Amino acid sequence: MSVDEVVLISEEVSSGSRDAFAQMYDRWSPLVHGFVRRKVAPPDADAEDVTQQVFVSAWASRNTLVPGPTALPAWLLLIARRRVADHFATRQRHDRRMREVRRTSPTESVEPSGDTSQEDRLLVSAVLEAMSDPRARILRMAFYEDLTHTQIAERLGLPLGTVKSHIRRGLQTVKDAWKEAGDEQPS
Amino acid sequence: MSSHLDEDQLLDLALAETDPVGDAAAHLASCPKCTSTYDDLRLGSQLLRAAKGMPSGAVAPPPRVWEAVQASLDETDATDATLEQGSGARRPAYLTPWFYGLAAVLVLVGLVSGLLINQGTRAPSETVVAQAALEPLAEDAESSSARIVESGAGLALVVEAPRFQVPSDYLEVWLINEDLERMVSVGVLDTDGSQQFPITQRMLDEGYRIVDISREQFDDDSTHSGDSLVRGELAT
Repeated sequence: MSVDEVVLISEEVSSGSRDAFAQMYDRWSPLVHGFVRRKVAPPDADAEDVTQQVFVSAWASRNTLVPGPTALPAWLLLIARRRVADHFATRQRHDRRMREVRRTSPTESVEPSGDTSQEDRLLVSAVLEAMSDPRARILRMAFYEDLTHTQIAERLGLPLGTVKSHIRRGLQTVKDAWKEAGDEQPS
Repeated sequence: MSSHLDEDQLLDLALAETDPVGDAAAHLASCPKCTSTYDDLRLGSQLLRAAKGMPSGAVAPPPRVWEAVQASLDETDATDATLEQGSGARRPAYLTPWFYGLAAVLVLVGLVSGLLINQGTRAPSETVVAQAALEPLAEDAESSSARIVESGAGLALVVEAPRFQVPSDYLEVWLINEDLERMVSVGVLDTDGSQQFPITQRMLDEGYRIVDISREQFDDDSTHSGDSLVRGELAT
């Protein structure tokens, strides 16, 4: 999916297109679900319910989606973080009330994993996957294969300036997405 | 201030292993614009490097998730249309985005649809004096709703619950006090759908406002098993 397609889908979703919403689900639900599964313990049904709530919330708050090249999947992951937090809050309320009603020994309270850096890495990896070539490819060659910009330019048959430009824009996209997804502190 | 660093220079500086020195460092020290770009590129490259080898961890959700999402969206869109026709004015508060963050969306939509559907079937002399959305507390439990209706025959707790697919000898409906210590059993839940339990005003006044449905066994213990399926608090 190209950057332009991402921008278009984000515009259409924010203005209420169910079609675009379906395309968004198609493209990014595996990413959201993988993220949710990492945070929500089995049974699978729990994670599936949370993923469902993420997309229902997303539709309900579609007017908060600011269309742009970095809007997706950052916006979805931000919503996912909130729904995961709600899931744990509900469990804790239930556990607390069960203790109070039954006066039995406390049930195990379920704490969300506080591994922020893993979340960051997941997000960045998702952003990279969402990028189209040649930009994504150039970034991987520069940062994961440790090729010089000149080597990349030669291998891809592109001007050096173009390669550097892709790298600059790519890095800005990664940084913007990370900032957008991290703008709200989960309560 | 010396002339701005061009974009390629800033990129090379940001990706270099050592910090900038000399003229470049001097310019950055005095130029917020270039510093901002430099910082952005550095941060981006650090994030990217840290994510090396990280699979995106994508797992496709099963088809039922999409079906459920669509069903919920269809209901929401239909509800919006109905309410817009009705009021013509701005959206009621409970449909604004922030509210969805507080409660499971399906519970809310279910309650609204339930209210709309019941407009036509309620006896004319009945008034709804309180209602509650009952949140699932166990696997296989589904959202339910409850309300207190007042009619010529007195007060009744009306429970709308699906036939829960959970093993039990019977299902019991409770009104738990807000002190979370005392509770009263109002009866046994049987039907798939709507069921009425007579209650008294005194119970509500005394604070028995938390509706709870539990799984029970045929044993010598009449107290709450502790195994709740759904629960919610009545609000006027």
